[in-house]
Order: sequence, then structure tokens, then C-alpha cells
Amino acid sequence: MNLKSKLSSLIAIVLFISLTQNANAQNVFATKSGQIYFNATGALVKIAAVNNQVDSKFVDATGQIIFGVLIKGFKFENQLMEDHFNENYMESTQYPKADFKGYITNIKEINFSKDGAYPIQVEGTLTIHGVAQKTTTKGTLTLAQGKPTIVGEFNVKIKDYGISGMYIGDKIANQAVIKLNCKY
Amino acid sequence: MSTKNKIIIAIALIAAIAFGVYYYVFVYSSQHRRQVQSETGIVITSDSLVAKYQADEKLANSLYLNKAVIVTGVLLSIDKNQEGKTTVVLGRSDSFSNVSVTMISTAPITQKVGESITIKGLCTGALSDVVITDGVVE
Repeated sequence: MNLKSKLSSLIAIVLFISLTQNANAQNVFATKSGQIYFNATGALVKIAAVNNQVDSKFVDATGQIIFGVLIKGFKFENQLMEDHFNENYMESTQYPKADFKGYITNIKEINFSKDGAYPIQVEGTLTIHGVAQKTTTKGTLTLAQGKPTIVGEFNVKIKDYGISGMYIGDKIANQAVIKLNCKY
Repeated sequence: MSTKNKIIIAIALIAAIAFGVYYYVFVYSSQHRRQVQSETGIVITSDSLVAKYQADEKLANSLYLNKAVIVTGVLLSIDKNQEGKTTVVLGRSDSFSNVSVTMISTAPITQKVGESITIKGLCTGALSDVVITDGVVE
């Protein structure tokens, strides 16, 4: 083999390796300060809280996604509501965290090299109050300068998660809305 | 006392109690937040807090969850959360899990990354890091 053919086979090998590595490359996007809003406002009283310490990761190649949140980190405007939320409803000493584990099922439709807003479908298991339920939802993944932000919403029937307590269905809505906004 | 007076007194009492309940639930409770900074804090290093959570999360929760803690460790990073509040991470750069703190205010941190820092706040449990809210530099 002369030098020229040696060189060209070397280039071919390097090209092949770089291409295959590129095809296998996956990025893990993570945040520890995502936002989650909880709203269970019933007929009379505003019951809403925010938590700014959502721990979330997702993988662009597979669409695997997880969110975790600590119940004690939810801040209400009203301290008494916060105390009742923790003690009487979420029992956050016994069940300190809630999480979602699943997949963005249409991840292949997202072009991670092109900024824009992409609709996403998410499927997985939501665990609240120690009760795991399969769930699906829709959201949006926005890419700005290559950095993703995921916004989504879960509608949760409070009783499906074994949460009981006075006022549910009356002052507290039967269905809570959980909104996520995570900048990775 | 006449029946009329009794009724007036009863109505006045019920009104006073109703007002008291209303005031406590909707006015007092929205103006008076828990003051973690005035509580006695449990003194611990960030390494030891992380180690306790990694060894036995349930036990660690029974010791630290919902309690004021005073954590000392090496400042790994300073950032802002999506609300603009300052966040810091304490621990070791070679560790998978550290202590993640959201400060109570937007005030800048005077310590530099790599320096030791002590923060008092409320421990809310552990996700990939041990999480502290309402942090204030001691």
C-alpha cells in the first residue's frame, strides 16, 4: 500500500468513527431549579403554590425524561394553607417527594440543531403521595440557542392519588392543575 | 337579662368568633410566614449531610426534613433560578450529590467559588442533591 492509499484509508476510518460516534451521541439536559405550579383553587379560595427546585433530566436521543420535586418546597402565599397542604393532604413527612418518570414519545420529531417551539407528547408514571399512576400529557419543548425549555401541564384527580381530607370538591377543587416550566 | 339581649350577645359573639377565624386564616396567615432564620438550626457540614441522605434517606429525613439547618461546605457554584433568586451549590466537585440551596433573596453572594461558606435554611429533603430553601449566609 502506498502512502496515498494509506492516507485515504486512514481518513476513511477517522470519518467512519466520527460519523458513527455522532450518530450514537446523546446529550443529557438537566436542571435543579425548574419551576412547578400547583393550583387546586375551588369555589371560594385561591389555593396555589410554586416550587422553584424541580430536579429534571432528559435525554435527547431516547426522549427519556424525569422530574422530581420535594413537597415541602411548595410555597403558598398563605402559611396556614402551606401547613395544611403538607400535614393534612400531602402528608409530606411520610411522602416527601413526587416524581414523574417517562418518555417524550415524539422526541424524533425535534430537530435539536434548529431553534423553535416543538409540540411534545409525554407518557409515563406520575407518583404523588406514594401512589403511582400512568399518565399522558402534552407540552412544548422550545429551543433557544440550542438550550431547551419544557413547558407542560398535568391535570390530576386528587382522589386518584389517595389524597383525602376535608374540603376536597368544595373549597378545594377535585382536580388540581400542575404546570411545569423547566429551563435546562 | 331579656331574651332580646341574649340574642344580641349571642349574635355579637358568633360575629366576633367568625371574624377571628377569618382574620387568622386569611389575614394573619398570609402576613406571617414561618421564620426559619429565627429557629435554632442543626449545625452540619455539607459532606456529612449528603452522606447521611445517601446512607439512609428515611433516617436522614427524620433528622433534617422540615428543620432549620446550618450547613458549612465548599461553594461549588452560584447561579440564579427562573424567578431570579440566587441559588448556590455546596459540596465537592467530585461528588454526584451535593447540597443545593435556594437563597431567600436576590442578594449577591460575597464568597467566591472554592471558598468555604455557611448557610442557614430549611431542609426540604433530597432529590439528586439535598435541597435547602430560604437560605441566608450566616
